[in-house]
Amino acid sequence: MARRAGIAALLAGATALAGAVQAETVPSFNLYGLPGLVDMPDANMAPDATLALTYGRMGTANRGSVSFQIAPRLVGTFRYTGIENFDHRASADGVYYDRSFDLRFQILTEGDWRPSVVVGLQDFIGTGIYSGEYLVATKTLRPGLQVTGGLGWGRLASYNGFEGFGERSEEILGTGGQPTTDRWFRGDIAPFGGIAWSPNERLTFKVEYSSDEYVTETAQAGFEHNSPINLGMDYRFKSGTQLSVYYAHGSTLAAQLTYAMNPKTLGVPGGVESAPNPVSPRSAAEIADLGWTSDLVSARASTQDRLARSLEREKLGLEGFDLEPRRATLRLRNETYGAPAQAIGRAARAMSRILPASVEEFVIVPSEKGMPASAVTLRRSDLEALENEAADQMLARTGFGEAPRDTPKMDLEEYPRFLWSLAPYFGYATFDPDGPFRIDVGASLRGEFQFTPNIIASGSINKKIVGNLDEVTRVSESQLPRVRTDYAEYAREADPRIPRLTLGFYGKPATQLYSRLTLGYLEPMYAGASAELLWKPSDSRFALGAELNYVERRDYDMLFGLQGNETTDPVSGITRSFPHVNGHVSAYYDFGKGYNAQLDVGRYIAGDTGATLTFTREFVNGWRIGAFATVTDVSSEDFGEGSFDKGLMFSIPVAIGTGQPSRNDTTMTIRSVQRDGGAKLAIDDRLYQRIRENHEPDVAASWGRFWR
Amino acid sequence: MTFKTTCRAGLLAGLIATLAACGNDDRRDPLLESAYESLFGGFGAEEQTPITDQQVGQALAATDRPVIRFTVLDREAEALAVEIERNGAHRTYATADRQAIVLRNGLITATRGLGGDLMSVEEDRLLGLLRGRSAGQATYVQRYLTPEDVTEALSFTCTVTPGQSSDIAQGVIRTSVTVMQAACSDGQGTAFTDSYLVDGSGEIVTSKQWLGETTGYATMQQLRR
Repeated sequence: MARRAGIAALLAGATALAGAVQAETVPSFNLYGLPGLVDMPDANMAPDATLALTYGRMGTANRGSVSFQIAPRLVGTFRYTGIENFDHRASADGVYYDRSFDLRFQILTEGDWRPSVVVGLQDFIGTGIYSGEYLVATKTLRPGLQVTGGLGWGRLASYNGFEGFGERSEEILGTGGQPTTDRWFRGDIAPFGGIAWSPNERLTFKVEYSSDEYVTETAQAGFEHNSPINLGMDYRFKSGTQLSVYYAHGSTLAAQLTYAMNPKTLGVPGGVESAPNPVSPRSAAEIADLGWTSDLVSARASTQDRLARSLEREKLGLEGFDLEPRRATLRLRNETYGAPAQAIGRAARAMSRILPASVEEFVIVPSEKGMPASAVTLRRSDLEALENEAADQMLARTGFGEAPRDTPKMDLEEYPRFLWSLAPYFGYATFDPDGPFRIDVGASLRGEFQFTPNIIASGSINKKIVGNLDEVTRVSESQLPRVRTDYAEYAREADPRIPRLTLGFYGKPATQLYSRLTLGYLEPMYAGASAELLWKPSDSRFALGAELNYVERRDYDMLFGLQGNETTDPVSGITRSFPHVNGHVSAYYDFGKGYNAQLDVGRYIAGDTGATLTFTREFVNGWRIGAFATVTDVSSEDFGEGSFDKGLMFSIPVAIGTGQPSRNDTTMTIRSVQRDGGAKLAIDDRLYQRIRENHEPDVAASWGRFWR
Repeated sequence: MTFKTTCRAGLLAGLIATLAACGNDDRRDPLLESAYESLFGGFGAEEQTPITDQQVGQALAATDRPVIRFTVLDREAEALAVEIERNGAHRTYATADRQAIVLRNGLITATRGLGGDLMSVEEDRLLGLLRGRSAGQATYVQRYLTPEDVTEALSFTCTVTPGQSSDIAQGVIRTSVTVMQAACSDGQGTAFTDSYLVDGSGEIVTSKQWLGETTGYATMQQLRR
C-alpha cells in the first residue's frame, strides 16, 4: 500500500508540478511577462511568491521571461528577448539579443471604490531598448470585468504623447547594465488603457489602446505599426497554464504561453516518507526506577548501541552519546531530512522508546560535518503529553541554545566510511547569442571518503553523453585577466572532467564559531586552498564570516594540471596576470519571514576589490529565490557588456519532485553575462547555510515537521 | 535525428534506466527513479487488490494485538494495521509498509506516511457527541502541513445526528452499533460528511472520515479491539 499510496501522492505532486491549482488566481500575463493586457501593463498582482515563466512571440521578436512575486506588493521580472532582422551593431546573424529587468510596486490595493494602483519600471538597468515607466490603475467593475488606465513614459509614451518633464535620451546603450535613473519618468507622457472580460474561468478577452509605437522595431526591424488597438484572448488550462493569442498594432499576430507555479503550493504536503515511531510513554513506577544506574558504563554502551540502530532505521546517524541518570545527550547527524525539526522529532521519539525510563531530559545536538551546531533540549514528559497536540505546544516547551562544551565526543567506530554513487548530471550555459541555451547531460561518478565526520575527502568525475556546451565558439575581448571568460575553452576540452576533488576539514574552534579548510581542486576552474571562519550565535539573525583563498588556474581539461595565473586575451593578444590570493568578509542577516541578505566585501579573483549584495527569499520548505549584484573597482567600460556582475539564483529542493525527504537541492544561477569582474570562487561547502539551518529561527519555522 | 544522435539518445535512456543513482550514498537522491515511478507506476509495482477475508483471518491469527482495516477510498488502497503503541487514550496502528493511523476511541486523530497527512486534531467536543450518540453541534479542528511545511489549521463546525441502530460482525467483533453522522463545514467552501458506527461503550468500531484534500475520504474498521 505504501508504494501505491506514495505513487498516488507523487502523481498528485506531479500534477502540482504541472502548475498547481491555486486558491488565489494567477492574473493574465502580457507580452512583457507581467500581469497585463496585451502589451500594456495593468495593476493586478499575482499571489505572493508566484513564479511565472512566459514565452511569447510577436512578429519577429521572441520574448521569454521569469517573474517572481517578491512580496505581496512587489514583483520583479527578468526578460530575454531576441529580435530577428534587427539592424544594430550588436546583432548576431541579424538577431538582436536583449536582457532586461523590470520592477513593479503596488501603491494602492483595490478597495470597494478604489482601484489597484501600480508603479512600474521597465528595462530599468538594461540597454534601454524596452525602457519605460508607468503608473497604472485597474478596477474590477464586476467579477470577470476589469478596466485599466495608465500613463506611460519612455517607450510607453512613443504614441500620441504629450510633453512631460525634462529630456529623455533615446539611445540604446552599448554595454547596458547600469540603472538608467537619468531617464526615469522623463520626457513625453502618453495615456494607455483597456478592458479585460472573462465570461468564465477559462477564457479572457482583452482590448487595449497601446501607447507604444514600436519606433525602434519599425526603424530597425521592419515592424509595421498601423493601429494603437491590440486584441487578445487567453485560454486558461485546468493546470493553470495560460495560452494567449493576440492581434497587435493592426499588423502582427502574437502568441504566448504562461506557466505559473508557487513554491508555497508545489509538491506533496508533508511528504510521502514512512511514518515515524510513536512515543513510548512511561509509568510512574518506571520513572522512579534508578536501579539501572548501578552500572552506568555498561548501560550507556548497550543503550547507545540500540539507539544507533534505531536511528539508522530513521536514516539518521548517532555521532556521539552520553547517558546520565536523568539526562541523555545525543550528537545527531542528519543527512536525510530537509527540515531539521523532523530529524530532531524522529530522534526524540527513538530516544523515548529506548532510554531508561528515569531519563527525563533529552539534549539533541545537531552536528553538521562533525561541527556541533546547536542544542535542542526536550522534556520526555512533554513528548508523552503533547504527541497528539498542535506542534506549537511542543515548540513552546523546547529549549534552544548553543551546543554545550561537554558535547559528547565523536564516536568513530564506523569510520573511516567510503560512500560512492553514480548518477546522471546536467550542465548548462545561457544567453550565448549563437545558441541562447546550451545543455550537457552525462554520467557523474562521485566518491567520498570520510576519515571522521569532520575530515572528508570528496570528488567527482563527469563524462558527457550528449550536449552542445562545447559548441560555444564566441570569443569576446576582456580588459581584465580572463578569470571566467575562458569558460568555452573548459567546455570544449574537459571531457571527462573532475569538477571538484577536495579534502575538507571542519571544526568548531570556540562556541558560536565554525571553521572550514578546503584543499585541492576547489571548483571547475581553480585549485588551491580555501579557509573560512563563521560566527553565528544560535539565537541570532545576524552572522559574520570571513574567507581567504589561495588559488591557481586549472588546465582546460579539468583534470589534475594547473596553468598558472596568467591569461592571454584571444582578441587583443594581451597577457595579464592576477593574484593568487582572494577573499571576503561577509555579513549575513535574516530579516524574518524568509527574507535574507548577505553582503560580501573583499578581493575578487581577477584582483578587483568591491562588494556583492545578495537578497534572497527563502521558503520554509527550502526553495530559495534571490538576486545578487557585485560592484568592484573595475570600471563599467573595462567590465564590458552588462557593466557589472549581477544575476538571479533559483534553488529548488529535490524533495519537491520526489516527495521523499532530502537535504539536497538543485541550484541554477542565471547571469545576464559572464564577465571577469566581480568573480568569486564557486566553493560548494560554505558554512553559513548549513549551520543556520540548525539554529532556532530556522528550526522553529518548520516545526510542524517535528511530529512528521 | 542522425544515427549518431539516436545512438546517444538510446545510450542515455539506458543510462537513466540502469544507473538512476546507484551506489551506497543515500544522500544522492534517486530523482529519475522517482520521476519514473510517478509516471509509470514504479519498478514492478503490484496491482492493488482488496484485502480478502482469508488475509484478515491470517492477520488476526498472527497476532493477538488489536487490528484495523484501513482504506483510502480515492486511491482504492487498502491495508491492515496492527496496534503498535498506546499513549493515553490514543492508539497508534501501523501497516506493514510503515504507514500509521492514530485512533482515539476509534476516531482517526492523525495519519503518517500517506502524503498530505492529518497531523493532529482538536476533537474533544465532536468525540463527546459521537460517544454519547447524541445530536448537537461541535467545533472540530484539523491540522495539516502545507507544501511549504507550514502548519495549516482548518476549523470546522460539525452538526452531529444519530441514526439507526443495528448489529454488526466484523473480524472478531460482534456488537450492536448506532449510525452517527457529522456534517462539517469551515464556512469557506470546504465541507464533508463523516459517518461512524458507535457501540454501546461509546467506541467507534467503523468510520468513514475525511482526511484532507490530498487523502480525501478513508474508512476504518476495527477487526479486533
